[in-house]
Amino acid sequence: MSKGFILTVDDSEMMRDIISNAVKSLGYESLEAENGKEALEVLEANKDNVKLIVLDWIMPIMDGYETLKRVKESDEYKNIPVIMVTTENDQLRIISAVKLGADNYIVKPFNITDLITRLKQSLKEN
Amino acid sequence: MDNIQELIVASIKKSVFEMFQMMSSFTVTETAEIQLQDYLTGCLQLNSDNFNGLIKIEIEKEFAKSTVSDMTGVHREDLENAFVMDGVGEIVNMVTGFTKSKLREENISFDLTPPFVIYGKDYGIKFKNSVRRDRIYYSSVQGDLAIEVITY
Repeated sequence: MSKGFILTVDDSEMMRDIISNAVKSLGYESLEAENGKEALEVLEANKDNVKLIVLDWIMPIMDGYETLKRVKESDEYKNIPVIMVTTENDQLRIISAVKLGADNYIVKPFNITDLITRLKQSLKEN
Repeated sequence: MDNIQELIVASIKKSVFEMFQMMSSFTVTETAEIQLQDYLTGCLQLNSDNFNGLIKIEIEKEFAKSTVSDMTGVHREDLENAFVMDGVGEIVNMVTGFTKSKLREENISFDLTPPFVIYGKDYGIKFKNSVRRDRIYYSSVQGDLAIEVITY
């Protein structure tokens, strides 16, 4: 039985595939979006079942920061934990995301074990 | 400018090893100049007030397919060209992003453009002004790749 959905938002199809594989290994179903605008649409259609959002920072149309802001401003979505994914290990950027409500972050390149650990932490699974 | 070029080259070398070590099961080894066969080129521009640049990763198509297959678990024969090109773009993005993070510790900062990928035959990138360029070659069991760091 599915434990719910995890939404991966990344403009790279390869990265969405890598993260989706990790999501499925934990018994969750995977939802995907190419940018923040699409992510908000996917959230709207699956509002009660999304347990976690994995959100890339740099994307066209709507980037990760703006998407995070909108998610955390929404009464419906603000309690969904968000993991930010970034290629730049920029402390100021990470702090700004945490201040906005990001639950966790991971820097690319990452190994799958590290990704799964972060997913479990944010899902409060051991 | 020479110092910036040297720092970028040194950081790129670390980033390439890190990227393959973290994201794949492949090992790449720096090697002498080699002639690449049938390759894709992933590019990304660096822009700052003090310098501009371009990072080019040329990766043999078969090596790119093996790498993307290894990272995603998708069988090589099921990989579509667009997916492989997307993977090469993401590889140059990760290598350059990691380099940017490392260089911030040396007080060197720059902006990055989104990556773009070129595939074809007999193509090259020319600059109208003089540039500083260094080329580093890597080999692996699965194939070869080259990275070019260009600043101007």
